[in-house]
Amino acid sequence: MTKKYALFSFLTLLTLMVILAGCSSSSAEEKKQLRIWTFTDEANYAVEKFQERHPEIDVDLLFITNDNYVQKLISVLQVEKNVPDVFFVERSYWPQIRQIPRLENLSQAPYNAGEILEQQYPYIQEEEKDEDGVVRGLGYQGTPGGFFYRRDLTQEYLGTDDPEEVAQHISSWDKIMDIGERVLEESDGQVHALSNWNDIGTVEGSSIDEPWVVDEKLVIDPVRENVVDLAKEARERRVIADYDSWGPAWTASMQQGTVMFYPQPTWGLPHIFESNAPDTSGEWGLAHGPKAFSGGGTFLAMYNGSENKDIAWEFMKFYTTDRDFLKDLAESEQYFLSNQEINIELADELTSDFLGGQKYFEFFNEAGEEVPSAPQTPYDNDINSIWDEKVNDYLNGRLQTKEDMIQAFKTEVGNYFPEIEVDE
Amino acid sequence: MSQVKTETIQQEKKIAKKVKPSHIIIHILLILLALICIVPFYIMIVYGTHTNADIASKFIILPGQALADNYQYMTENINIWRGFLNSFIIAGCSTALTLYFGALNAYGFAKYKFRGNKVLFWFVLATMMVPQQLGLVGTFRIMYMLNLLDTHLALILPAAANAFAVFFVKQFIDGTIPNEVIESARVDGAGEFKTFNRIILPMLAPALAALGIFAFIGSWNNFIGPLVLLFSNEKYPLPLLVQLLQGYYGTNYGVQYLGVALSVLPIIIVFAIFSKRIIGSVAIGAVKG
Amino acid sequence: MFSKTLQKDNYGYLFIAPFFIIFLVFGLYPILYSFYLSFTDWDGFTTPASVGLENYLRLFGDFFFWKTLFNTLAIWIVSVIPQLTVSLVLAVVLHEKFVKGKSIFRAVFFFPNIVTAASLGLLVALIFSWQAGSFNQFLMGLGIINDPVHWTDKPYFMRGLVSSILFWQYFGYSMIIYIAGLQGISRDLLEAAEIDGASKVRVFFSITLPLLKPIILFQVVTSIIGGMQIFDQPYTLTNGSGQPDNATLTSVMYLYDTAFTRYQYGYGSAIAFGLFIVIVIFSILSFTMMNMRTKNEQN
Repeated sequence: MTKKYALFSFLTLLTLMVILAGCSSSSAEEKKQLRIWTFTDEANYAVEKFQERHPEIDVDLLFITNDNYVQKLISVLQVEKNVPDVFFVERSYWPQIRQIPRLENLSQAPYNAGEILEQQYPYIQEEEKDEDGVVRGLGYQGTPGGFFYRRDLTQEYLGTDDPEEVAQHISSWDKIMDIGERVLEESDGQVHALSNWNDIGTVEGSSIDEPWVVDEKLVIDPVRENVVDLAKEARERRVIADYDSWGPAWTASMQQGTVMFYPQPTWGLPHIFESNAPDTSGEWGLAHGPKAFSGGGTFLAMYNGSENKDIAWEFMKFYTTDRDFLKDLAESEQYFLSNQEINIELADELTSDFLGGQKYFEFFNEAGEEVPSAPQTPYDNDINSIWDEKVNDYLNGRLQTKEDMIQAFKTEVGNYFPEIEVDE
Repeated sequence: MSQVKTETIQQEKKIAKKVKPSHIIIHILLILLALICIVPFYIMIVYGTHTNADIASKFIILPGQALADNYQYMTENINIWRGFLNSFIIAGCSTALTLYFGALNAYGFAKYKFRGNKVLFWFVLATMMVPQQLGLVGTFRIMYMLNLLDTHLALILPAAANAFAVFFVKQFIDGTIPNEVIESARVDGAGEFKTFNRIILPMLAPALAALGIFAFIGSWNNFIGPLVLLFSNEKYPLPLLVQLLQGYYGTNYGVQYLGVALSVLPIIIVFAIFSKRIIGSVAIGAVKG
Repeated sequence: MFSKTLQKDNYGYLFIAPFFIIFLVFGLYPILYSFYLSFTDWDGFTTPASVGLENYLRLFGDFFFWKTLFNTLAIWIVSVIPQLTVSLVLAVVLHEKFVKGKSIFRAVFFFPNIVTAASLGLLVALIFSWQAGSFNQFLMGLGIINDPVHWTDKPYFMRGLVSSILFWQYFGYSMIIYIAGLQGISRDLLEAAEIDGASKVRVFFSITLPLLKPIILFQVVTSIIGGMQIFDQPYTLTNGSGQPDNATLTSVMYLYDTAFTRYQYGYGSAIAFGLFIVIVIFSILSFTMMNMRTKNEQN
């Protein structure tokens, strides 16, 4: 019995010592900890550089994949438990997130984010503000787009690989469809002009005048209807290849050279083309298409209940305004910035080997000036996905006519969001 | 002579038995069905060892060489072994709670004739009919109020109130534990809880073993519960990590196959060892039910 | 003496107390709270605002609620009928003496039942994927098709696929339960019938089947409650989308989407109760059918 007792007290003592040792070691360092959530692994680079600059700050970065990210973010914001100090938000979810009353007001002092916005492209400035014009987040990424093309294919079928001349060939959808038809025939059905109908949607989507919901009423902008007609025509004339976006066949087509044009924003260069078709470096070009557009984008927002607002802001400022870091980022990661001033400074020097030496910063700067600011609503992500499903159903023939398609779309929106008025 | 005759008849019988065509057809059909059951698992294992490019280009029958690469790639974002640990913690603790409190409750109903015994027992039975999803939103809310969101406890604690366990164990107690056992323990001066813990619980072992298998499998495979109640990847049990594969590696089929294979292989191994026991417990549960 | 036993009997309350406390907190309270929420509008950020019966009125007129109920029922029926029949035939066959390797067949058929449903859903999604799926590669390798078939874009096919996964998971389970039931039927009885010249088929229909009736009905009733809650398999099969054409969107997926991705907690709760009412109706229906049948037979 006494032996047992001795052993027990010894173990208790040991446990206590371990706990005490643990406590004292952690209290000795007393680093400030900044908690960041991201849906993209590109945050790693920025965090690394930020920690080099600020060794006194300990950054805890959590990477959650896109599918679950927003849901989790909204959950923690609702229950205000384990909320990160700073969180990344992708553009498609941003209009929904920026309305949540847990985001810090960045227009006010000490942040005065308005000064930072002045350095950015007009279309990004619009997106950073909520419905009352208060800045709720900072975009660090510039996302104007262009038509990425395979130089070998344009050389073969258009007789040129010069960006200016290619741009002449694809200055309207009509021209692109004509090219598509011809190329399909000449290549015995191997080569398509575009990969799927979303390519048309991506380009045209930036040119809408009215968002999905105006004064609690569902509105279908004529531009969106036009996309459906264009997609149907492209499908019927077999101009598009119908590879699932981000599917294995789609990524494989870049390597195989079975699609001529991929309209994609700036980040498509490292994240889509270089990563999926590394063996084709130098064979790509970048040209302006029928319209200027932008795609995606990432915003940094701060939790208004955060206890580390000072270092949170330090990080956000670093990622959007720090000249040294941003130049590094642009050069080593081929990262096109939201900061127009720095992009302009770099425009002359930065070329891409992957794009056959093209000055792509210069290219995107031109494009960025032209990008219209498409109005957004908190419903965008949900309604967009319903719309895309219905367009798919129409293109695949499950919905016979465009009228059926629009009716099905309206029914579904009205069902999911009874507060939105839908005219039948 | 007659001996020889019977022998030949027996031989004829044997031969007749062997070549009976209906029996062969039945065996062939059984084997075919078994193959259909096995092939997807075979595909899962083989495809996990191939690169995405291989998978996208042709049908594959034999293992490839990309296992290490796929594994390497998967571990960048998904710690499957951590998922195993989490699943073990959740399923293990849940099962322990289910068994102990299920047995305690069943014993209370079986051996104490307190007022309201019957009514309360019917109430427990009635809760078996209520689907778990009915209280999904409310569960989220109470876990928030108790500060249990994003903790394993949120998945473990409710396991203490498993109505099926109560029903199952009570049947067993009614059938196998005579009142004399309890009476003699009382005569020996043992307290009521001591009697339960020291004498009754060990006697329930066969029922608890069968029930434990059920409870463990159920908790191990639970999907919607953790999907709603957990936020952090590092707390995820296996089924959620499997779902995460789609998010992180949507275009990389090799990695997804490998992840699925790693989540299923241990189950195959455990089943290969304990299949008799597991199947036996299912049969017992069904007959009792 | 009397008072002593009474005292002892009151110990029973102590024994059942932990269960009931946990049940009240984690079982009953959530249900009551969901019930309360079903009369409110709540997005998780503000306080719930009472809206009376609005959610239930919306539910009644919600085309998608009825569609998901239809989907769930369709998936359930298409899986449960072959599940209960094929497994019965298998049970009878595996109960026969001449079959070799019984325990191996039993184990192989039962195995999918204990595999995580989420894993099975993803596995099937990979196999039937459009442009890189092994099923298409297989058919193309055999020369049956030239271009990959877009299976995931075919509503009926995908709904059938969910049913197939459920069948695959549960036929072995049903088979084990039937075998347990068959073991309760005396072999002598069956053999006597055969010696009397009855064919195996005849024996099956006039002796085995009637004796197994309670077990069959037990399986039908339990599978209703489980079948109406189908979630894991279609969720992982379609990566949560319930596509194509919402054909694989089950009622619980709709509940989950409404409450936890559109953050309409009030309406989500109303869907839960709507679904519950449907389950109750089906359970009562099957119970009465069971009673009517047994009564008819007694007459």
